Amino acid sequence: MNPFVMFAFPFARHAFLAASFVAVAAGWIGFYVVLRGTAFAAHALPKVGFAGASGALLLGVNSLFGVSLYSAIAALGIGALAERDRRDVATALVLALGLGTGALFLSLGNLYAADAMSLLFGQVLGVSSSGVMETACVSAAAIALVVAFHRVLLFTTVAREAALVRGASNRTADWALLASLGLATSAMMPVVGALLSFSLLVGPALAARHLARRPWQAIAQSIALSLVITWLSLFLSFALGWPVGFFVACLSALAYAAARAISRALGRKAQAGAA
Amino acid sequence: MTLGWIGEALASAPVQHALIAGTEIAFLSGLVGAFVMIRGQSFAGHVLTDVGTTGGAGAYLVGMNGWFGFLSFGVLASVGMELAGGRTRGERDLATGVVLSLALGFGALFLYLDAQLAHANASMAVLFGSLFTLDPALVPWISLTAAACLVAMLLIWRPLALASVNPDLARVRGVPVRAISIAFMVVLAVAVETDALVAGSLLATALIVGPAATAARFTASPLRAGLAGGLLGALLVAASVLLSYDSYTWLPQHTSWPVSFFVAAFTFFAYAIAAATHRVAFQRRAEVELP
Repeated sequence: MNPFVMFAFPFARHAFLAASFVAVAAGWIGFYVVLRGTAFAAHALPKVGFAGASGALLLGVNSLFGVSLYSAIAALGIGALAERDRRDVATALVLALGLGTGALFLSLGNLYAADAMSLLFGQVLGVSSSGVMETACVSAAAIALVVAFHRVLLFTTVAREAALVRGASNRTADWALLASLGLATSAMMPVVGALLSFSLLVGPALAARHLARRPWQAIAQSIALSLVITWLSLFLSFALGWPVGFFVACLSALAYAAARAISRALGRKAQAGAA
Repeated sequence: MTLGWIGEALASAPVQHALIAGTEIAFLSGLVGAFVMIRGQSFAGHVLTDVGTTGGAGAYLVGMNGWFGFLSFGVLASVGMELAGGRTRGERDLATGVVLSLALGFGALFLYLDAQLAHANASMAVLFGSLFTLDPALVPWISLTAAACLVAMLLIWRPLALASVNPDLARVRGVPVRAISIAFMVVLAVAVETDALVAGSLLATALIVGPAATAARFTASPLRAGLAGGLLGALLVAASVLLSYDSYTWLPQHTSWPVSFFVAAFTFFAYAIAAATHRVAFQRRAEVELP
């Protein structure tokens, strides 16, 4: 089947645009997630966003509002509860509380399994034209935040002590990344779904880390990979009717495996050349 | 207030089964959770539940009981993660993350196919728990499994404690650290995946991390933390089951609130209260010690 047939449908064009914005944001922010090893928070925030979306469904308000509110509260909660080395416990508990209220909202609203499914696994083909605008704005805000804190985020990770001496605060960096993740989550949730936002955040960025030598190079590669993965997943999902998230997850894992294999092969060649 | 509704609840067979299976597995989870705290494996525990989602959804797809799907995938994933383990915690988390996202992708596909093949309730049961619709024939098996895991934990308790706190020292003393770690991960997987029946695969982590983290605020000994966490977990699950049963009458539209909601809310607030108490107590002690 010719994949370009899908552009004849307005809903498919919306999906394509929204997913592209999301892919850029995920690839960009994913770089910092991988750099700082905050995979658990990146996994937890979208899931908590799911609870916000189901609450919004119950009350009949815009789901973007519900997701943003919930992710913001969750990001604040994780940041506030996390003491030194206990971040994983705080994250797990905030995640559990968020999901618990999500389960409650779903059952109170008598929402059908289909609603839960589309929130968890994304409903990319249900994005409206105003939804595209919302996604674009929120993605841009999330990116703007990490760009503004780019130096602090890098400095505090790479040279922690030196950064502290120079007055760059690790806490500030943590908060900035959490806030940006919360925003990105709000943009991603309706498109890719809660469970698989995480694949897009971590997969391309991890692959890029194995290939790139410099930060900006890694960011560019991560965005490029994320876009390719998203577009391919959309085409495949459109052609086969299976959930988008399934393809996103498989292609992300594939990209990571390929990048590791390539970097290992290149590394061996470089070593052989040096010897 | 009369406690009539509790008696009424206890007389119902599904509630009895839910209470028996739920409290047993919550006790095991609290005990295992003490070591999850020490070893910093909250994320690994959480990943197991997501992998379990895939297994549970796959089991419904081929017409098996969800529990077997949860268990088989969870145990496989736990051994795989332990064997693949990275050098630092952040790196381990990221490697775990890739496996996790792949599992989630297949979970999405299986749940989608479940829905297509008209097991509409399967996805909700997998994700949000199915304690009240537990197959009565499964209850003795769950009890047996929980008992076997308890015995296993007691057998490896001392070497596990040493290997968790100081792996190098453990190695010098001749403890098979790798084998002990794998054994622990298998027990963790069994506990997590059976929790998924209680609270759903989305929320099973709450029962591992919550009670144990609460107990860890008050004692440093793994044995005391494990026992206190286990008892606390069992208590929370029992209260959740009873409240969920009663909640049917709370709102005019008569929908019962899910067990998983109560479990999540109780564990979170237990931890928050413990953290606050601990802080107050600690500050007071610090003030007294000052000259």
